[in-house]
Order: sequence, then structure tokens, then C-alpha cells
Amino acid sequence: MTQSSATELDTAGVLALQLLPDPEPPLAQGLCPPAVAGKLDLLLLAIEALDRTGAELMMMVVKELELTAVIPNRVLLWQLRGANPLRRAYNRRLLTLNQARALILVLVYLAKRLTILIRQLLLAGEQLQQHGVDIRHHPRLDDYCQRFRTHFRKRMNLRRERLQIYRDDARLNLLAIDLLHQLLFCTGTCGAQRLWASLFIGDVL
Amino acid sequence: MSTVLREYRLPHCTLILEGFTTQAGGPLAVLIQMDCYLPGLEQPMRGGSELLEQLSRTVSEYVQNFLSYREPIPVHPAGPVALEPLSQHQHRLRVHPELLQDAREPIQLDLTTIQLFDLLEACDQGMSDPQTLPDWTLNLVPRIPRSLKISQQTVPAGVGLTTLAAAALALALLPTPKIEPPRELRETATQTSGEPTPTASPSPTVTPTPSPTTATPTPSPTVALEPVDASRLLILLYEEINAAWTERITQDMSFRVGVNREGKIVNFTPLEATTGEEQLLPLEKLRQTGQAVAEFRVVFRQNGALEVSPY
Repeated sequence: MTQSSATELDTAGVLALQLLPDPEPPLAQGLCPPAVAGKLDLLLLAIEALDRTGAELMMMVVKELELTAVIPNRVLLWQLRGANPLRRAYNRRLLTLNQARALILVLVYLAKRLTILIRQLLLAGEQLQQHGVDIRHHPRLDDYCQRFRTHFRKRMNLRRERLQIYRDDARLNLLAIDLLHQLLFCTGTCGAQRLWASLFIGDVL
Repeated sequence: MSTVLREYRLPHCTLILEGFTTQAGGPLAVLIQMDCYLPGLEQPMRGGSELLEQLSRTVSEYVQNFLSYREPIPVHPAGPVALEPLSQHQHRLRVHPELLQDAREPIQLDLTTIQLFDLLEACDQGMSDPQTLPDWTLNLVPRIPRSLKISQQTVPAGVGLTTLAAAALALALLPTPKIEPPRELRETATQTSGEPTPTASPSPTVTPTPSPTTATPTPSPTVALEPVDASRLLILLYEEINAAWTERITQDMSFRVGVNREGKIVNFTPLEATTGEEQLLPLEKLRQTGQAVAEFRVVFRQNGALEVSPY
């Protein structure tokens, strides 16, 4: 239903999708490989850990950006998140190009709102690392890492061999901070284009 | 024609572009010089359009790799503008003096990821600004590597079907099993009871093992491959060829490939007339000496897909 491009291109907000060019060479049936959904879902998870209201905000942002032609309701939004192959509730769905683009626009919108917080946390992290101090001594950063760990362990399938290392808190903290760096690049002027161009190379983790 | 200044100011980086406009109120069309202020530099990095272009391109590529692989990878290490990771979040920028004005020594500077982001953002703002150098724009198209197409799209269906076919074929070849108690059972029975059991003696194939700790009996060379071996070899062969095959070909090619017990290629013969393109394939490179124990049909598709099935 959402895959027909004719209905998708009706709203003005969807014009923003066209700023993100089709990948080369073209994808088979216009469907993204699972790693694309995986990478986007992890970044959205980091947003949720930064901002308690992030999860509720996502659907509001979809409406705000007039992307409801691509993501009409909350159910589909969660189904798209469930296309992350690392999830417990992995639904084996493959994102269409426009669904992936819409998730990027939502992600970048939310990341830009959090620019100051992201920069503060990263600066704090750098200073702690320079002085060899554990992140637990920075309440805000510790809070973010703790919430990210909770979200990650609740939703990802830790029985998978690749995820076993994340039973360790320190490893999961490193992942949380790596994702924070990725979010920083999403906050830039060309954040959406840069993230979009990076998605098709490399694995989820 | 008048000179104009464009300034892109971020917490850790300031980029100032000076140039001419070709018409009043028009965009900065010709760059005279650029100054880039970064932490740790006493003097700004000063140069012309070549520096601006190389700097923005190197930083852009480096960041794209960082976003794709979640770890930094060196970019143009021998080029005029190089960026190399020192650690996950420390990056070394080097600029060759030929691009710099009033400098004989190269500039070398270590940036944190936030500083790197500010440098990138200053360039991105300039590129997105229609009033600044209209030809200096960001053109990023997602590129899909061939290996990704194979590993994430073709493999699940291809391997699933071929292993199913392999297992079905191998199972069909299996002889009807003879009813015979397993060797271990008989051995343990002998050990525990301490007296010979009547079931052990009638079977002529059983030879008394010298010690109870002997490992699994060595299979005789005439024994046909077990089903598990055929599918294991198929997967080994698939993975080996898939990892080594990097060149594109213009038409499908199929081969009959013999492999040894370790799944290594020992011989191969093309199934159609050769076109000379088989030089692009990794078969010859992977060939080893040894005795073939199984044969597979290997098809290289021109769209990048690889198919391996029992011959």
C-alpha cells in the first residue's frame, strides 16, 4: 500500500524525500538490505535514550514533516523499527527506499533538536577520557548510557552470537557513545544526505 | 565586480572565504583565498581553491567512511590532504605545503571528532550556500558494493535452496540402513558387564578395539560422502569463492568444480565455450592439489550472484 510511489508523491513534505537520491546500482525491487533498517533503528534507539519523549515524538514528527503518506500510523512505524535484524521481534521486513528516507528525515529532525545536548555529552565524554575518569562520574552521560543499555537489552536479541559481547556494560557504553558521535554528524547541514549515503555500506554492528 | 567575504563560524572551526562576484549582489564566483581557523593552529590554514576542494573532499570521504563502518579509516594517506585515525575519536589531519600560502612545512593537526565535525560542517554550510561558489556543491549518491548485494540479498535464498537440494540429493543416495547396534553401545556394554555380549559376536565387520579410549574409526576411502559432508563442502566452497570474487563479468559462466575433503578447489572445467573472461574469476587462484571427493556446479552470474549446487 505504502509502496506505490504514485500516492506517496502527493504531499509537499514528501518532496523532501527526493533530496535523497536513489542508490547506485539500483536495488533489487527497490528494497533496502536489512542492515539499513538495523542502522537506522539503533540511531533511533540512541535518540530515545537521550530524550524520554523521543518515542512519542516520532509519530508527531512524521505528521509535522508531512510524511504520513509513507508512514501513515504508529503501527507501521514500529513495524519498520522491527525490520532491524538484531531485534528480538525481528519481522524480516525489508524497508522500501521511501520508508528508509522517511525514517532518516525523522531521525535527523529529532537529532537536530538535541544538538546542544549531544555536543555537551560528547565534550564531557572526551574530557572524562582524557583524565581517565569513568563515565559514571558524569551524571548526564551516565544517565544516557544507562538508558541506552536498558533499551538495547530489552529489545535486541542478545542470544545472537554477534551481540553476546554486549552483555558487558562497558562494551555497550562504548556503542552508546559511538552512536552519539554518529548522531552528531546527523545534526549537520547535510546530515540527512550524509547519513543516507553511508547506510548501504558496512554492517549494522 | 567586487570582493566579498563569506564566513562560516562554528565552535571549533571558522572558515573564511574571500572572492570576487561577477555581478552586483551575485554569488561569490571566484575564490581568491580561504582561511581556516582550527584549534591548535597559531596561524590560519591559508590557501586557494585547490586547498578548499581537497580539504572538503578528504574530510567528506573520511566522515562517510566513519558513518558507514562506525570506525575511522585513513583517507588519501599519501595525498596533499590526508586524514588518518589515531584512535576511535582522534584524527590526524596533514596538509602538504604545496597547497598552502606562506608555508614551507606541512601542517599536521590532531582533531577530536567534535572538531572534525565542525570542520566538516563549515565546509557543508559553504557547499549548501547558493551565494558561495555555485560549483562547489555536495554530491553524495549512495553506492552499493557488489559484495553487499550478494551477501544480503542473494545468499539467503540461494544458499537455502542449494543446501536443500544438496541434502535431498545426498539423502536419496543413502543406502537403506542395516539394523546393527552402534559400536559405542556394544563397547560400553562389554565394559560394564565385563562379559562378551551375544550381539557383538555375530557381526563380521566388528573388530575388537584395542583400547576403549580409541577415537572414532577412520572411514575407508571407498565410503561415499555423508550428506552432512556434501552440504558442508558446498558452503565452504561458496564462501571461499564468494570472498575471493571481486571482478564483474559481462555474461553468466558455469563450471564443474571438484573439491577435496577441506572444501578446496582441486580441478575445474568450464561448461560452455570460454570467452576469456574466466581470467576475472578466482578459480585458478584458489586451486590446490589433492584428491577430489565431491563435484559441484558453480555458476557466476553477470549480475554478481554466485550459485553453487551439487553436480
